[in-house]
Amino acid sequence: MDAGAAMTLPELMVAACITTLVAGAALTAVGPLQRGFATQPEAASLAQRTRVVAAFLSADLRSAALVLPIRVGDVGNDIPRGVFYRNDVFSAIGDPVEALARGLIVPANIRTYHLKQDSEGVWQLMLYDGRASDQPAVEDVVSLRVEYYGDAEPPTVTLTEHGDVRVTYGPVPPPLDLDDPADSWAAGENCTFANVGGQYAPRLQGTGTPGITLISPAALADGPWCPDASHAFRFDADLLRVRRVRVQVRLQASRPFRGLAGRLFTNSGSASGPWRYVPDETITVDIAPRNINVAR
Amino acid sequence: MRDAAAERGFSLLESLFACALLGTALLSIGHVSSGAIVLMADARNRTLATTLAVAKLEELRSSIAPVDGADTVDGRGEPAMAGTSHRFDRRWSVVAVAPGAAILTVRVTPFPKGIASREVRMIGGWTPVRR
Repeated sequence: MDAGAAMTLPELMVAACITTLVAGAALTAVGPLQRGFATQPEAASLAQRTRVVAAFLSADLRSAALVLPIRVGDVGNDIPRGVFYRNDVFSAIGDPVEALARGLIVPANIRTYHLKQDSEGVWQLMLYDGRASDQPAVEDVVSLRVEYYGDAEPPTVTLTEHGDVRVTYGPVPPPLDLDDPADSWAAGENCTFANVGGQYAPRLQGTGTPGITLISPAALADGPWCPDASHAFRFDADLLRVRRVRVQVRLQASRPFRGLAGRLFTNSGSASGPWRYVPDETITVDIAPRNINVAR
Repeated sequence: MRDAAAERGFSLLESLFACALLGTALLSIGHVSSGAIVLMADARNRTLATTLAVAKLEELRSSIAPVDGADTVDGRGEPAMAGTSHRFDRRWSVVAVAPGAAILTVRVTPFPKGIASREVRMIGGWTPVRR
């Protein structure tokens, strides 16, 4: 081969073919990658909002002394409306449950979570503080479901050798011969114990299955009421059974990354094709409130 | 006067070498890009695995008498159905350290395993409800 000669035509053709093949393969690979990358910021945002929701709910439930399945506070209080159970709302109360159950205080440390649609139609997880602040915590939360798991056994009373009354859970009833003027219960009674023939008898029924079981919604809104049925702040005594709260939250991507409503999406969006889909994410947060047994 | 050696074009071998170099570079870029997407998926899996581990730990904490066990669940914590593509294997153990006190350990492994996925392990304490 002449050292001064350039490529021959066949050489040039072979080189051009190889270059075309390499470039074609690269472009073929880049197309899906670009489409994949287009969804990544939204997928990352969804994952981050999922973590934020889990952190919010975990922190407030973990420190709660009482968890109510309603909204309570100065604005939009469910109690005066006669609503005592909603499965899409909960209020984590941080005040001592013994004092609340005896009517000595009303809750001041309230964290209520609920859903709300803003003026642009975006669903938000709202956090209400029981006063005037009701602010969005996380956007594009489309579902909030709460379940309560509790002690299947009714509370029991034991008397110490010094004559002190001890209970397995709930407020301690007064001595059998003593009437608490702050409530409407008879002598020796409170919201969890009745005085039957000079003996403490639990007002709550056992559920039949020992251990920690799911408490039915009906049982959380049918009384008996603590402190009593006439108190402005009252709650079902079965809530004193609660040992664990399960919250299931579903979040969605923004509209350009959602397809038609169905299994993947709660609400329809405007995604141009499946390569633009970022499906809804559902997480389940289980928390055993640490302060719920403090008064035992 | 023109130098004949300076006017020499690329040989076929040189062209092939250049193409191979270009191809390798493009593939490397593609690999890094797809790796980022895989890592994102792994991060999501780890978030779900952590949430599932916490959920089991809390369930054991609230239990009257926790015992060892294992299950396979989906990302929502529901039992994984046969053929579920993404699932999480959970294993938990209860080790008594004193009368009325135990150490709880929960391990969650996501499946299928990604290039960066790994087991999530959480440890907590348990004491019985005071009666």
